[in-house]
Amino acid sequence: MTDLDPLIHAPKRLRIMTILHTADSVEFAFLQDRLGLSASDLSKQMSALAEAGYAKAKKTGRGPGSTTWYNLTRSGRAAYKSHVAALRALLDDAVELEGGATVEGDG
Amino acid sequence: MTESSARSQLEQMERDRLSVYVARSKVPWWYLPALGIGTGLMLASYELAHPLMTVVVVLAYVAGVGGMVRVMLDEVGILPKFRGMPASLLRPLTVFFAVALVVVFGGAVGALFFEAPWGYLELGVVACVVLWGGGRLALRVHEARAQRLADEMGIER
Repeated sequence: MTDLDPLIHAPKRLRIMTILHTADSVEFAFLQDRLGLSASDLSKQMSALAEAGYAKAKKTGRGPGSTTWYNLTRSGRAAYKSHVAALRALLDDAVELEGGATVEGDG
Repeated sequence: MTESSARSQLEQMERDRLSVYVARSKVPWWYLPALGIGTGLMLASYELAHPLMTVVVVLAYVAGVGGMVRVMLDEVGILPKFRGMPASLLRPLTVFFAVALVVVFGGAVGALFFEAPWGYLELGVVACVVLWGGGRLALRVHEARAQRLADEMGIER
C-alpha cells in the first residue's frame, strides 16, 4: 500500500493540490478566492509545495497588474495521485475489516 | 488516520474538484462580441479587400485572438481541464465549439474550394452571429447547469 504524503496531507495543501490537479494552470487570486485563504497563508503553502518540487509558479505581466499562475509538476501529479490512492486504500481496508468482523460475528 | 477522516478528506476533495468547474463565469463582457466581430471581419475581408490584404488581416486576427485569450484568462484566473468536466457542463460548450467550427472552417472551405452558394460577406455575418450569440447562449446554459450542480453539492459559487 502507498503511504500518505505528509506534505500533501495538510488540509490546506491537499485542497490546493486538488484544484491544481483539476486545471492546467491556476492564478493566485482564483486559489485565494476558492479556498478563502489570506495572501500570506496561500504564499506560504505554495512555497512549501514549490520547494518540494510539486508545483511551479509563472509570473505574467509587470508591476501592479502582474499575476502569478501555478501548475503541478510531473512529480506533483504523481504525488497527488498516490496520496489519493492511499486514502482510497485506507477506506477499502476499513470496509474489508468491517466485512470480516460481520462474518465472524454472524458465525 | 481513521476511516471517517479519510472519507471526509475524499469528499472535500471532490467538492474542491467540482468547485473549479462550477465557479461563476468571469468571461469579460467584451470577449464574445470581439471574437464574433473579429472573425466576421476576417472572413468578410476576403471579399471586400485585395487577396494579399487578407493575409495581413488573417495574421492580425490570429495575433488579436491570442492576445484576447490571454487577457480573458487573466480575468478568469483558471484554465480547467476539459477531461474531468462533468458531462452536463461540457455538453453546451462542446456543441458550441462544434457548431462554430463547422460554420467558420466548413463555410470558408466550402466557399474557397467547392464554389458554395454563399459569399465571404454572408459567411462573416453568420460567423459573427454564431460566435457572439451562440457563445452567449452556451455560457448561459453552462451557468445555469453549474448553479444547479453547485446547489446539489452544497458548493458556494
